[in-house]
Amino acid sequence: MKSERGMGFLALIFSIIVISIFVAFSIYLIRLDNIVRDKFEGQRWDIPAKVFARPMEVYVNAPVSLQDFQQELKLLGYKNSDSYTKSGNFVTTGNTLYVHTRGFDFGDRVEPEQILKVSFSGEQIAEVSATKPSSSGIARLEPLLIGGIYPQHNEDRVLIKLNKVPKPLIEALIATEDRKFYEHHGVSPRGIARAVVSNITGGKRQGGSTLTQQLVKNFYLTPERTLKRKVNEAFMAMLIELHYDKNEILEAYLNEVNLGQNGNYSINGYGLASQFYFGLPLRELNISQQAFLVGLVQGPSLYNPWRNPESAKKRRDIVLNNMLVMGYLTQEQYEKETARPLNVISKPTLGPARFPDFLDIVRRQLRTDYQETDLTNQGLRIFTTLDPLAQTRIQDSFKETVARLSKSNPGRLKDLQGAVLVSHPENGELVAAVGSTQDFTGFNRAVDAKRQVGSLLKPVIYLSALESNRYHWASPIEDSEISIKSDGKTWTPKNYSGRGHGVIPMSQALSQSYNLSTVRLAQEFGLSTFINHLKKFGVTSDIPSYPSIYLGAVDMSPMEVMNIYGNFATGGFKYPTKAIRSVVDANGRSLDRYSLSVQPTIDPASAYALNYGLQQVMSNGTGRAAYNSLPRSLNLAGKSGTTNDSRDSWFAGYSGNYMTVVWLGLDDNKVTGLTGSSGALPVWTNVMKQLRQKPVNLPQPNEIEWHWLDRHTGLLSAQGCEGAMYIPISRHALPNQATACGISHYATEPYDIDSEPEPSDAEQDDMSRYIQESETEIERDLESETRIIASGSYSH
Amino acid sequence: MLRKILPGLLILSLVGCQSISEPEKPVTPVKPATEKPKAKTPDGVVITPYDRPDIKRQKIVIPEQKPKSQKFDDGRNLPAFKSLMQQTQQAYTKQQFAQAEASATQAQRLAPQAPETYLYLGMIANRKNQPASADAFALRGLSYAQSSAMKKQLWQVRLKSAQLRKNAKAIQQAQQALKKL
Repeated sequence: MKSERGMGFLALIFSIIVISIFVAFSIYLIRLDNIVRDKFEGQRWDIPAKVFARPMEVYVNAPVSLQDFQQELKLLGYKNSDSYTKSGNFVTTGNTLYVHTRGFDFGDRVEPEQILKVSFSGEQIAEVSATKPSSSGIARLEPLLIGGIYPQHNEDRVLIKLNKVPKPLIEALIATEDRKFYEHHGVSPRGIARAVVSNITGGKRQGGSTLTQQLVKNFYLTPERTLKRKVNEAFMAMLIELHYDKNEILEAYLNEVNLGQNGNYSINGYGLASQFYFGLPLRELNISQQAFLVGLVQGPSLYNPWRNPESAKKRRDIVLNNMLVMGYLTQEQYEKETARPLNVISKPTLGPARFPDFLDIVRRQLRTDYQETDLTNQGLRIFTTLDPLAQTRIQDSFKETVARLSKSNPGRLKDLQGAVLVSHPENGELVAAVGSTQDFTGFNRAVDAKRQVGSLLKPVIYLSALESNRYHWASPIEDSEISIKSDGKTWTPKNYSGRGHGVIPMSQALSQSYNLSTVRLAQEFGLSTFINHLKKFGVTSDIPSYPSIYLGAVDMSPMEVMNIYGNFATGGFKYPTKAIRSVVDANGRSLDRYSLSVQPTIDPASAYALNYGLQQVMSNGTGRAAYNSLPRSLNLAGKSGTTNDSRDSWFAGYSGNYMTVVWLGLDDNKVTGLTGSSGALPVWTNVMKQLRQKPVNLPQPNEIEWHWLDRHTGLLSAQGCEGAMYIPISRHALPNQATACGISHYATEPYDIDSEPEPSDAEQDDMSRYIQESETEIERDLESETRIIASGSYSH
Repeated sequence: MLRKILPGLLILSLVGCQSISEPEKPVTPVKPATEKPKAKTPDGVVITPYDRPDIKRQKIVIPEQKPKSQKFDDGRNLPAFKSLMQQTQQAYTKQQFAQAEASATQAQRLAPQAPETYLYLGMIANRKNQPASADAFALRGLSYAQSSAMKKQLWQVRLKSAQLRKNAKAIQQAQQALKKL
């Protein structure tokens, strides 16, 4: 009886223990199951935002030469081959090129994979035929991937769908990593047994993991080698197999597996690995390249093709041999594939290496609109305005010209630095950016280097003069010594030559960049007018309120200078500089379109007249050397800038379709000995030569007329008269007197002051929009205690 | 004698230089001024009449230059530009403003000096209740527009924008401009 009770008690205890174990095991499994399902069904990976260059647009009469097109295809990794049956290949015959495009999802439109026949004539596309023509007549190549927005020390991947993965890659993977993949339920008892035996007997250390287990290990668990982790791995593998089919598991594996390292970022998944090692999309790899990628699973570092090319090739051949053994390759195929070299690209092109300065500007622009986490894990696609052909040529030309300048004076210019920005003035799109003569270090001089700008701001002063209608380009102004008292100190500017030039026409003062006449003129309009203009034109830096800012004693970045000159290049409109066209989310939905925006900033007549002054700088002023290698028909406009003791050398200018700003200097702000004309101008000219230019052709406002005026007196003159210059002038600024030579060319009539017409309301309104501010500012200046000058202070 | 000739020369120089003509042109002789009597005021000031002849001011007539038709080499004749503008128009008619804006922006890249793109961008901005933007686009378009028809449409955009902003002065200005066209 007693023993029966004892037995019953033991049975109870046993039952309780069994039930407890069962319950605990169930809880454990439920917990694991939750982990497995949560991650597998949620957002599986953090996908860094990918940044793309502008797509090349192919249409009839597009300004693209055959060489440009071939170079673009090369950048995109297209192969120049004998046939174009496969995507990523092109064939050139004479002036015609056949290309099998890859297609691309732009978010707003999917560009199909198709064959394009493109014929060229001179510098443009003459004819385009497409197998899948678009309604707009424009075909787009896929845009070049220029980088990503990565979190610190994180991983990167390009997601691929299983149906886009080449069959040989899957076969190679199955043959090498898990031959029973389609048969087991997550774990392979035979594999485990084989690994245990091998490990116990001291044989070659083997892993018995199936692909599912490898996925679990990488996806859910830490890489520690403990029994607990192994057990978790096995159960989780079985749970995954229970919930998901083999194809889903395989697709997750192909996107998850670690296949290399690029600096701080790990290369995950076959989609990215293909780009990283071969610069090609996965479906364009040949069998041996696919086998190489499969071989990397065992040790991406061990089989790094750049560090251990021999080991990498041996490993690839083992994979090919596995394919042969499994019957996926014939002997002939095997021999052909093993005979191939590895064919990896010479240097990885992903990550932070490609056009880092431009990417940095994109990143800064994005951070004002998006949270950091959105950028680093939501798989956004950023379509930018970068022209990779222009960028490549510009940065090469920039580095070459700077190297030449450095060589001319190695003692002083050994560490010469600089920056270049190029944009389309007519829409503000940034085309290229270079922020250093060396590799990118994080300090982007195109936006971070705030340096004194010297004479670059002079056009703003001449603009005030033109806006007042009291001056035109032939107006005589005095270039003589001047001192200005400000805050108890006296500022006495000097000309570069050290002397004054007497009375000169205003155009000469700007084109020769005379300081004294400019400062005298600036005094008439006041500091606040000058500062307000700068702010209106897009300067965001603090502008001090002392008179030396007239001559550019104010720190600005090349980007700010670009903002200012954009107003001149467009005839008085501000298009904010933008580096991004649109942002598309991982599902192809367009999140943001960085729309075109424009704002009128200068009275069009004054802007048109100012443009003439800047053209004079190029034709007979400090920028004239540009025409030694650029055609005069471009009617270029620009201005040089040099700061005290030649510490900074600047040039900003534009053609009809490109605006370029160049800065050169030393990071420690020491003297370079370079003026704007001797330093930045040669760089500017060489950069402009890399681009297909159109002439400056601003629309002429109705108020503007072209007249002959006398350069000595500013009076009306006539063609053929001594000192006559033909200039654009606002009707409101026309002088009412003529020179002795000029008078005979004009009709006269008795003057009756009462007959002077009052300006019409419309005219008043048009002009007052622009001038009011200036006049108000003058009044304010007059009232203000801080007004430094009055016209009476001229020292004639 | 010299005293009488000098004032004459001085007067001539003040008349817009027109009398100091080129050597081959005959110079109109200046008549000597007649002496006028001095007058005394009660406070003892003696007024001496100006002994030079009246300055005859003449106005120079500068014929107004007619605005020249300007040719822009900017791609507005490209078939692709025309197709894009057609797409813009269709999308706009269907009130698909995002699509219309995308097509117009793409067209603007091909032909940046074509006023048509600015016309549509302005109309779209008005429809999106962004009248300030619309006005800026229309102004930009007007800077390129050469035909009266285009100018009229652009002024209509400005008028609509002014109405949306309830800016009486701008409305009046637009109406006046439209009347003139």
